[in-house]
Amino acid sequence: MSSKETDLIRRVRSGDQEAFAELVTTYRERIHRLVYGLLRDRDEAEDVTQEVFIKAYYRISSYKGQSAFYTWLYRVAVNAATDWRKKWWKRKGLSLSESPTGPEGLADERARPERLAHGRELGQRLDEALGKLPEKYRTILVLREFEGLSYDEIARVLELPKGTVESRLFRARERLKTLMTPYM
Amino acid sequence: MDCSEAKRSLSLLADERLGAEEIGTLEEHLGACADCARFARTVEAVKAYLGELPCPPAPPNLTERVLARLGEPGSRLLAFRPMLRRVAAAAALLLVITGPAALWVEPGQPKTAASPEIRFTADGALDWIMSEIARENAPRIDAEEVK
Repeated sequence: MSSKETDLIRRVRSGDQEAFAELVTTYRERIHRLVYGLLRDRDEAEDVTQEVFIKAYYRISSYKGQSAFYTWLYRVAVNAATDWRKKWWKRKGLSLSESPTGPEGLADERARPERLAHGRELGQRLDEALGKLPEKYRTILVLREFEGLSYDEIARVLELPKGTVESRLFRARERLKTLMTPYM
Repeated sequence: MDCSEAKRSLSLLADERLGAEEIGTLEEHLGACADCARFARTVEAVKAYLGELPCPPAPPNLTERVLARLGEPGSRLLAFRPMLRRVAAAAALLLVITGPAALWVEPGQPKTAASPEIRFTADGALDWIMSEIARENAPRIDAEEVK
């Protein structure tokens, strides 16, 4: 972490909103991208990104400087997106690990390989399948494939052992393969 | 190499964490196993899809919007709402646990809040409340997966 960033964080801790504005400007694209990747809704991503920074401002005293600031900010963002999805599912009367039609929903449909020859069709199926994954699997796939984080970075953001990052990614891909079997 | 090993290897390969020697063994297996070949195609497809997924830019006035929200009443509450919800639930539980104990008086042995058994129950509940507060800033960890 640069000494400038350390200084900005110290100033934010003492309530300096100008210093915080600099941090927001530095990280807004990365955080918005991560939240968009997790929620896949433009409007919701904007709202949740704002929430992430508001939470970060008031909770900055919990950042101890043991990891990079962006790692801590990513964690706030992942938790905020998870909380938002929980609220969303709760409104619909579903649990976070459930999907509206259940994991078998896609597999029950008749496969149409000729239509899936088109990349957009396959993308749509993948998008639906990702939406049906339990939160922890979707999150880790987004961090790895969309954000391009390394195992070490994912381990720090999610505070998981590296071995768990590896096994969770494997399980996420296994689930995805089950959902995508009729189309692959 | 069995299918379980092959799929684990494919997941590692997608993350560029598989050695050259293992890649050779994996290729042999893939040539003979349609299910693992399908797994490989799925892993590649999701990598390509998420890797190339377009993302709209953040709103240009995001910084201003965040700063404006910081000035709004209730913005601090927003930051701590999930934690407050947990603390409220814990406080309600504390009341349920300690309330009857505080009212229960054995004949000849009046109990007060300082009585050891009541203090023990209350201390345990308070510990739990404190752990809930600490948990708020922690990531959501699945204990089953922690090796």
